[in-house]
Amino acid sequence: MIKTIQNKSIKSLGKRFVRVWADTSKRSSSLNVAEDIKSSLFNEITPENGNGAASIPDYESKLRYHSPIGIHEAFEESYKILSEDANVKYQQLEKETDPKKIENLQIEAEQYNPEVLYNAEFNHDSLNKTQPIYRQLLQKKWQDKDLMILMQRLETMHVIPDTLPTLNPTADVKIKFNHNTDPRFIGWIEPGTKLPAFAVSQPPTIQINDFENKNQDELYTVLLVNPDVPDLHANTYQTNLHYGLVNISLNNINDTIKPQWLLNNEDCIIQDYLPLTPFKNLPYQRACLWVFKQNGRSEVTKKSIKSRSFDIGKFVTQNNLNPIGAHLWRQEFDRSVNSIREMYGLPKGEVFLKFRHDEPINTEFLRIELPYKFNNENRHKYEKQASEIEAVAEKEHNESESN
Amino acid sequence: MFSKSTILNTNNTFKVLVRYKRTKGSGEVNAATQKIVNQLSVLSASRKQPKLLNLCNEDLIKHKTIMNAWNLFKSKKNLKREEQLRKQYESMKNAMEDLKNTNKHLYKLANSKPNKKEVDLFPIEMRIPTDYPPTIPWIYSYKPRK
Repeated sequence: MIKTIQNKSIKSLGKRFVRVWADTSKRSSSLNVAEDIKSSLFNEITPENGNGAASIPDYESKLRYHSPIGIHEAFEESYKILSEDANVKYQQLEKETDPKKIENLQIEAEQYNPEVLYNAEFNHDSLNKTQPIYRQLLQKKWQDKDLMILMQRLETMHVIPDTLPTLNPTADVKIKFNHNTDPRFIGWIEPGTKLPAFAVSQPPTIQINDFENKNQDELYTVLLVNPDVPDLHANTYQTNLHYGLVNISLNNINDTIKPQWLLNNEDCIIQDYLPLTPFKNLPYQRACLWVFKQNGRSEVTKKSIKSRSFDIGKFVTQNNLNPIGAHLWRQEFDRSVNSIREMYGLPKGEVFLKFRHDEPINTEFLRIELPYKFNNENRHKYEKQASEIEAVAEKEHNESESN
Repeated sequence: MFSKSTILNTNNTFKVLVRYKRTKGSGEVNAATQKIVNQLSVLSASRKQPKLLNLCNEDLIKHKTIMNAWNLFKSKKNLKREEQLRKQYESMKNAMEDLKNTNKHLYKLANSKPNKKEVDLFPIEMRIPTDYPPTIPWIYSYKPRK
């Protein structure tokens, strides 16, 4: 098989063979690999002559590694065939004027370039996302694994439809907490992971990659909601807003929301970050992070969000938001919850019964702590109720004494 | 296709293993145990699986590139063949259209089935020969199509 390709290619290519992918005048330099990798990619790997594989860092392993016999010769011939094909694509590209077709041709011209494939496979964290081929390869990689994991977690943990009815993700949303020093919590968080309160005590860094060509910045909204806040009066759960960002402008290169950047852009924050602090003996709580694309500049400010209690569906329809991605992590009560509550000025946490009973808790005779300090609306209600109950009890007591 | 240098290099790097008469380890287990060991070694999965190739990053990309080139070569060949078949079909169709417009009688003759009594042809509806007998070996009520 290899022999036929070789003979044919030598006959047909001959003088016409042009190294299109080696040309740096028209193409971005981000489409090339580092020099050391390049030398072992385009030359034969012969460790006994000092040309070991550059990707193997260990000296001993480098000496020990030998390529399969004949792989380099076959690669050279394949490279000729593929670059001839790419050359045709580049010639078509010069004549093309339609921007959509130009992008498709750019992808087709670079899709077999071994240097591009190397970067996409092994340097995927530092890719230049202005290049359509890298966006395409990243999207494929995301669709093959991360998207499926995300949808599985969203469905099994009932984030959809508990927060919003459904989601058709078009963007890869990644989060990490940069304040962590523990190796278990450094790096991107897998959707649905159970995290301790100390690991989420500071606002997350959010990366939004929607694989589109963005010539100008686009505006995004990010909401972090907890649909598992116990509502004892109604014997159910309610949703709280734990973090809200609007009018975040991002592009292909600047695609990450960093807490440091938000310090100088406080207008974007509509609700300050408050980590989830689940009460003892409650089932796990879900921190659901939703990312939306805005249709225009949003007028929502910090003042228009009055309490933590939040109706996400209403907010989305009112502001005409388009959900493009989501993420979630889970939290349970752990040893660090109390210190985190103290850190954020929250009152002492409650302890619930181990099992939820069929009968609702009679909250009229229960002096419960407020769910959150910031929920002033509720606080007045509770205090009023408590004083009324006290007055009635006092009155009854006085009556019985006088009788 | 391999260059001279590869052969020389491979001679330097790849060891040639030669098996001599076994001198140690023989007679340590009894015959019954050895029998079980032999049976298990025949059954074991590792014997049947080819050895996993550990490629370095560069060689993995080289392998992918070779596969891409081979797929491109095949797809181009297929496209060429499909194009040729399409052209053949088009010309057949055009010829028939032409015949239909010029002479309807000839067109009818060209499209009609040959009379079996006059021309003894091989029956095209006959089953294609297979390696194994069919589930229904014989259709007794078979009548040739008219």
